[in-house]
Amino acid sequence: MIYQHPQIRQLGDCALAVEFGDEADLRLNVRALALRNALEAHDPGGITDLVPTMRALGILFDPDRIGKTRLEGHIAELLDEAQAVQSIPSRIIDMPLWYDDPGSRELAARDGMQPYLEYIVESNGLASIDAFIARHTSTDQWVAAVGWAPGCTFAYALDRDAAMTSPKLVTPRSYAIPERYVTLGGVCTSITPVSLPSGYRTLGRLAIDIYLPGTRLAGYSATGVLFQAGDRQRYRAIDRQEYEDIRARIDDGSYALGIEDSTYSTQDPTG
Amino acid sequence: MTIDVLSPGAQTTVQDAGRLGYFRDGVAPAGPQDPPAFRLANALAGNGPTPGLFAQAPDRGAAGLEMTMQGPRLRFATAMRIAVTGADMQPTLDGVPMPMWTSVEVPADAVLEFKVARTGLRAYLAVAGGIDVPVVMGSRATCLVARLGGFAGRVLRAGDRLATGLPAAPGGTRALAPAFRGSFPAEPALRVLPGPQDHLFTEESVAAFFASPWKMSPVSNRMGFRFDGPALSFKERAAEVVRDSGSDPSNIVDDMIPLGGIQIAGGKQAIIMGVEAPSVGGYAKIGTVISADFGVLGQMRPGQSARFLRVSSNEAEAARRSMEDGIDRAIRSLEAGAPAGEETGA
Repeated sequence: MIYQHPQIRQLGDCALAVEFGDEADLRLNVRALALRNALEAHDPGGITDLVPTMRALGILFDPDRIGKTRLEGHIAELLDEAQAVQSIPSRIIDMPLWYDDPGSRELAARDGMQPYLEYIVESNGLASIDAFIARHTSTDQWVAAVGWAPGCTFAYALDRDAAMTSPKLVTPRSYAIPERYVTLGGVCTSITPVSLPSGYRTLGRLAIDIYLPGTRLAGYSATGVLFQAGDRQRYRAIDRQEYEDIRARIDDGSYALGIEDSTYSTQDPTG
Repeated sequence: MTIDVLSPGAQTTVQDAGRLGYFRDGVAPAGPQDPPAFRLANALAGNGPTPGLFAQAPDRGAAGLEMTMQGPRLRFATAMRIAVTGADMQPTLDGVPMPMWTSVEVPADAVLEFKVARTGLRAYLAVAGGIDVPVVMGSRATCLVARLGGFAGRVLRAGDRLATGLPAAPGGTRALAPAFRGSFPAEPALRVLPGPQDHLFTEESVAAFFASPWKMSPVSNRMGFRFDGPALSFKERAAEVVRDSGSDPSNIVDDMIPLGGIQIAGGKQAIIMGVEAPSVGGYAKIGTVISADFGVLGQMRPGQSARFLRVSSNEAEAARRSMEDGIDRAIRSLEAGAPAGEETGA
């Protein structure tokens, strides 16, 4: 449901959330991002963090600086503007992905499963791994939220017709899988920023880092996190040689990430 | 001025008040899991004011050590003023019992040793001048999950050498009156503000949540505290929510989880978010433990039971102010002060 009037939810005494709806609809995410942008532009003081998710904006505040009532009043003044926003800044980031890498096959074997990409190809009624790759690269993946672990992204196909699904593992892994594995859980494409016990099936290994604490490379935040909510991931298939080449160039500092500054319009939802 | 780690204890980390402003990147604030005990340790050691976990203050206070269950063995290469608060790990200084909640002048080459906590779970060691580790994104707090801050982003190990900063003010040893010290109730009542998803549970389940005892599982840490209690059930969900969030009745489309937020995963277990919790998640949250009770939660031991007490937004804010007033009064009592020895009784 998309709420006619956004709901303010209580998250204890030092946080609240402005919730625009309860489903995974990109229009809700755009409103949450627009409200974040509005609160950053009109900072009432006392807000310590803004955490957009697919359907809501989490707001952390210092109650000694701003009371809940005044904060809610300030939000109410910005909501109409946020609800009406149809275009927001959105970077497009090049995602060189080695689909179906040997490591993914080893993980599936360790989990006692058929190679993950083969399973996803069959369960989505596709002809081949190449068909999967063609579809996964045919549309940008919209980063609706960043979090869970540092820099981890929750991304959804902008073209819903190109979305594919993969059930989460019934029992999440008890061991950590390495960083930079791109995974599919439900319709959500995610990436392990560090070594983590993910419960999603892996698609392959990403050549670039999404979490590099201490880096000064262009494109990363002060925390070393590459993505922010509202970015777009543009995946492309690479082979082992290109993967190794990019890793070597990242190590020697000669690789520049492909980042295009752009805007996203709800009038042209798949673009 | 240095401290050598002879043995590290079960889980000892460098913490200050915590790192604000990076939850948007998935980096939790970290900091002490019992903030009042940590803040009072700093005051006793003669360090300046230590802000609360959510206070918008750029100075995150002096860094100290958080010790969990079994404390470390430390050698002080130089003389310094220290204080230990929180869980009772029976500290000894060169084999002689050392009073807690009291500032102590430690001579050079003294060895401070802790045992297993006999009450509470987390103890805090503050040193005059603070532990001098690099400031990472505004804070010296260790975030183990993100592997940043503190001492190389990790728990302390034997052989580590900690540098300490210059003390802000000269000595003066003081003890906190018993009324200002932390307490460890057998079955704590954790105050809970309902929301953000209490409306997704059946009314019977919300009632059962507040009426039943909940037992803390050993699978608890700074990321989350797991509690076992009655099975809770949910109202029927709209088709699009099932489609977008998953087949389990506790699934929601992921949103932000606040510190203290209580996820009911699968309707079976309550997971309360700690200071290193994930920032977003896809399970319904019935309520949030109020900030004034984080310290009590942080001192709970596995196997211990708690009850959840429903409070209003105004009551939560009043409790927070009351906690801050208590810390202010405790610090003022030190400044006015009874010297150590008169009111120790630790």
